[in-house]
Amino acid sequence: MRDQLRVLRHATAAAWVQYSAYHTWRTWAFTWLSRLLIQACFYALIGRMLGSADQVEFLLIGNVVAVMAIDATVVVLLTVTERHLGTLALMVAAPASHLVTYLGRGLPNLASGIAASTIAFLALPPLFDVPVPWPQALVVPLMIAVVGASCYCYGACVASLVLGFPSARWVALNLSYLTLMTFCGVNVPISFWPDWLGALTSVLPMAHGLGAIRAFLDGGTWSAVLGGLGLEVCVGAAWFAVAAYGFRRMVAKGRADGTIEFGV
Amino acid sequence: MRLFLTGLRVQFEVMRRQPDHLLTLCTLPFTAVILLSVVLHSARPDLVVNAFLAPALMGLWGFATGSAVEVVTGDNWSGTLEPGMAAPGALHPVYLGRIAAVMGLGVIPLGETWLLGGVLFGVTPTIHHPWVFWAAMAASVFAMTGTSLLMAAALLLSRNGGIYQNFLSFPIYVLSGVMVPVSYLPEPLRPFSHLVFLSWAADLMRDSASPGPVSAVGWRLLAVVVLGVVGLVAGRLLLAAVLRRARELGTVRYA
Repeated sequence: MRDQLRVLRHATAAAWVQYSAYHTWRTWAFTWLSRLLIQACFYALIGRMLGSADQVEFLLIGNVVAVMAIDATVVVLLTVTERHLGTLALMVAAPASHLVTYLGRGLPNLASGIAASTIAFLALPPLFDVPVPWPQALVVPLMIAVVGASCYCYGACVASLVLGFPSARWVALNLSYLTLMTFCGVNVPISFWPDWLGALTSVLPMAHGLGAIRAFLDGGTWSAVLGGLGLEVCVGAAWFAVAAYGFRRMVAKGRADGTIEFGV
Repeated sequence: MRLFLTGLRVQFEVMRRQPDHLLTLCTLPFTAVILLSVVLHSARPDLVVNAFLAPALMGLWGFATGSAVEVVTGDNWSGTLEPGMAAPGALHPVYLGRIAAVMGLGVIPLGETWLLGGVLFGVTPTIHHPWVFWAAMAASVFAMTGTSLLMAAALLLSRNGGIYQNFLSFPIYVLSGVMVPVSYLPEPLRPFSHLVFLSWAADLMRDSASPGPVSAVGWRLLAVVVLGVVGLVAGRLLLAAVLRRARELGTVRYA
């Protein structure tokens, strides 16, 4: 276990070097963060156009949490890049598992998404007169982190499927987070959709966690909030297990048919 | 003109071989479903037209900031810009032709949104002034072509243009009022909206769907076209300046 954590630390450090080569803190703040903040504002403005304070609150809170899913699912692109770098052969030969490296590939992006959502949660509600119960709401960033982890596991699972079709990575990334933003209660309640679609969202990340955050902000009971977060953790764990199986299968298949390439 | 047509042909061939260029067509239905679901859930049929036009215009912009800009930045990244610079023909008409090919596909999101609205939600807005609507759409495609050239040239100035490419989406959608009219924006932001051609086009297209007469159609269309021409001329000058600067500084690589 300790060895695996050490590999994870090195993998995350390598991913961070790559991330920081792409973004400086200035470009992150002035281009990426500001774009995500404005994206949440775009939907909150729709609520204002609808002339309903409840709609403003629903759309703002939903999108403040949902923008994190974009960063969380970027792991789809990063794992394909890792495979393209040709490091898999070395990882297969090494005593540590390749799973840790692949599953940890997008952790800096996940951190970026959680940070962006947290900043959006702190900064935007006052601009749209959305009431937030301070100081109790200080636990909301922790709930955002739980939803983020779940979305990340879902992204990793999609990544394990896309590794065999690298040219589909951009489409897969976009469809992954847009599915969550469209159907998981971000912009309209899940009850708006047909029953079968609503049932489908219960196995997707975001739906339970976002519901828990809304319940908390509306003064719901702790049992309802913790129940929602618990379900979110379970959904994330299930996606994680499928992702791990997918990455294992990739190596097993590569060993069998000799498609694990060394070098680019 | 020959170089422009060559650019058109090359780009159609590239898009046929690389479906990634059509990513916007895959993502746009989700935007359309989100916006339509929001207005229908709120029982605001008067805003259905906004929810139809916004994805269409966002799709047009998405093609511009995605595929159209990458026509130039992608060449720079892959090292094919340099042989182009060494060729006897001018580069601008070729790139303009390639960008025009991408923007020609920019009308597809409009049909896609109409189809989705009808099939999934059983609603389609009535366009009471179709000529105004289509004239605004055509002017938008033209203006988008010019604006794309300007954005592509500007992004060549950065080593990491992708960062700015990501930024150029929702800030423009908010500023141009594609979904929420500019009157809902804070007062200090509103004057800047007039500098974005999409704000004129979105207003005009929304008005074309209302039964009353559309005021000042000519002037408003002219505003879209003039902003497009400004983008086109500025893009051409900036692209020439960027390429000249690369030659002067000796940063043209051979890959």
